[in-house]
Amino acid sequence: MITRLLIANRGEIAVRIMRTCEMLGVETVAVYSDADRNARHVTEASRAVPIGPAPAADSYLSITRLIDAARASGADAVHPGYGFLSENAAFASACVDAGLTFVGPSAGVIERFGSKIEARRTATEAGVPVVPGGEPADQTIAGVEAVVRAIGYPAVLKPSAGGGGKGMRIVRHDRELGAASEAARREAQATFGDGTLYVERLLERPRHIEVQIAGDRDGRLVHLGERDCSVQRRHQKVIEETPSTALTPSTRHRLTTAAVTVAQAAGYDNVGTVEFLVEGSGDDARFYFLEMNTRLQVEHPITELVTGVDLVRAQLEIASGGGVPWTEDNISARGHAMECRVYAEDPARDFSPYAGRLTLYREPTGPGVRVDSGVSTGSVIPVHYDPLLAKLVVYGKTREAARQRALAALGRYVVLGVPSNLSFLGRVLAHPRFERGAIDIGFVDDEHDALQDSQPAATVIAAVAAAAARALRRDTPSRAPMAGEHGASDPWARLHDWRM
Amino acid sequence: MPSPIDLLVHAGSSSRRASVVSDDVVEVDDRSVAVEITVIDPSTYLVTADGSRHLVHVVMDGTRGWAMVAGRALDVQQSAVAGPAGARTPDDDALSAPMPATVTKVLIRAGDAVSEGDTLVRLEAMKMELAVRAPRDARVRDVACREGELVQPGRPLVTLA
Repeated sequence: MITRLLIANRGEIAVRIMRTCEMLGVETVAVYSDADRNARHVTEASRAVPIGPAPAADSYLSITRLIDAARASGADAVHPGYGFLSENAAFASACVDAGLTFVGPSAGVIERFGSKIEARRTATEAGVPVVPGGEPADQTIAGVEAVVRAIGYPAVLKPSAGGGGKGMRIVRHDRELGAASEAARREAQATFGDGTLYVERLLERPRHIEVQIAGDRDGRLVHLGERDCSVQRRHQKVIEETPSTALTPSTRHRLTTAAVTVAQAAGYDNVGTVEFLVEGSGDDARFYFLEMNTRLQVEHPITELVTGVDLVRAQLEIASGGGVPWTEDNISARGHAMECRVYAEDPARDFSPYAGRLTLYREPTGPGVRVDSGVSTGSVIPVHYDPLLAKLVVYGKTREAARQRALAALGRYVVLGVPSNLSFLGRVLAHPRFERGAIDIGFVDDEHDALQDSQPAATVIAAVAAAAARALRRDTPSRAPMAGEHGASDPWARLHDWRM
Repeated sequence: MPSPIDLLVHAGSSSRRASVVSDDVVEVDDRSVAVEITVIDPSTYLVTADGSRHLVHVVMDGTRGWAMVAGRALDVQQSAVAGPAGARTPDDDALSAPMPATVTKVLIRAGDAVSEGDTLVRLEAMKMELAVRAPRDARVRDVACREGELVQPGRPLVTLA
């Protein structure tokens, strides 16, 4: 059994993993770059080890530094979280070579699904359809163009080495190809350290639906239902829900069976996610295998809410050799769950990410509300990493109950100091198409205008101005406080203002 | 209250002027709104404005601040106390980074003629590529950044003549 776990990650997922460790009595080791010295994942861990300067390439992506940190801290296992090195086979091997338990599938499985070609071959051989596409052997613009022509427009260029929507470019005409492939290659190189591009046919208006699976070394494999992740901006998920409104029982059965088949074919051990694109709905819906994510998914909590399992605990148990802790017969999903990703970004500026300091951060609470976060008031959001602040996850007996609960919770959420997408999330949840469940991966782009911030009422402006003026007067006393006197910003000095 | 506090309140792409005339009155555009404030804590205020209740969270940093009402973020800026009306700010011609970023490519030199939409500087922030483009046809007066440099928001990168 694992006794001391090094978490090779940061932010909300590192904190989330610690929550399960606390419950199991597993000690936690945080790692941190210079930019994260005072981050929440550092302060909440049993111990913490510095691993280098702020740029991820020199810290969270450095296999050598992470292995050294594991050795120095006496950890016996490593959890990679998501992103960073979570799908890096060399890292999984390095952990095993150092005598550490890697909490994830074996390096061979990671390697197989890390290569889009191998992943597609695995799916095709298992009889599961894939989206037409290929990795150009000739990676020049002419070579990429030849493959795009063979597959047909519209096409998507994406990094061969990566996932998560980073560096993707859509090409609809020959004339866009040059600029798009250069930009995609630069982003691929910068994000994944590998500029190799992959070309794929773009399906029009598909949904992104994925299946959570878990397997072990004895060949047991179970699925835990699907997650619909069709609400995306810049090719990245923002709101996920389960169950999907697009699946009928028979389509769900076909989809989950396909997911289990692909995973089984690869001898998948540990928790993973099989992603599909789904065209159409009802019993005639067609699905295509997209990729397998060989790690814990950002949106895993919605599966936890409807099934009642702890996926991190399952990961630790499987990695320790304990096997999948449930069978399909004793797993059932009930109710509906939704996740809203809270990002430091400005929806009015094409969702540009922002860095800065959180001057105030308050999370909503209440029945059926869970918040996984990695920040608190005063946290600095560094420029170097993903700007995800937190995930608001809600449960409801019905989809509508979950939607209303999410809307109400967003209204109580406070993020000050950096722009956030909180109000954008509220507008998505309130949109009639979302309310009906009529969404696809083009939803946010199609409804761009309707999802813009409307002008606030004059009373809201007046209320904000009045409060801001009061705050300004607190901060700028008419005279400097004398020695031994409380400053004007000290709340106790202005007790007469307080409602006690 | 000795003198009114004039504020600009931004939400998304809209921007409104508000003048806090007294403890009980705020003028928004031409409308006078009656307000009543209860201070809950130094950053939380319960404000009744013309009869509607709003829980306002606000933190000021100098003359600038952030507010949130019912999950909606608003940006607050205290208007300059004095200054020549209609003065053209130097920022009109200076292009800056929208957020802390690394300069990955500088594509122009001082003296170059550029057309509207041309990419002048390429930035990378949070693994995302951003382009600083020319807002109009112009000549480059000054280039104030180097490739590889980490730049802060608001700092001019390129000045157009």
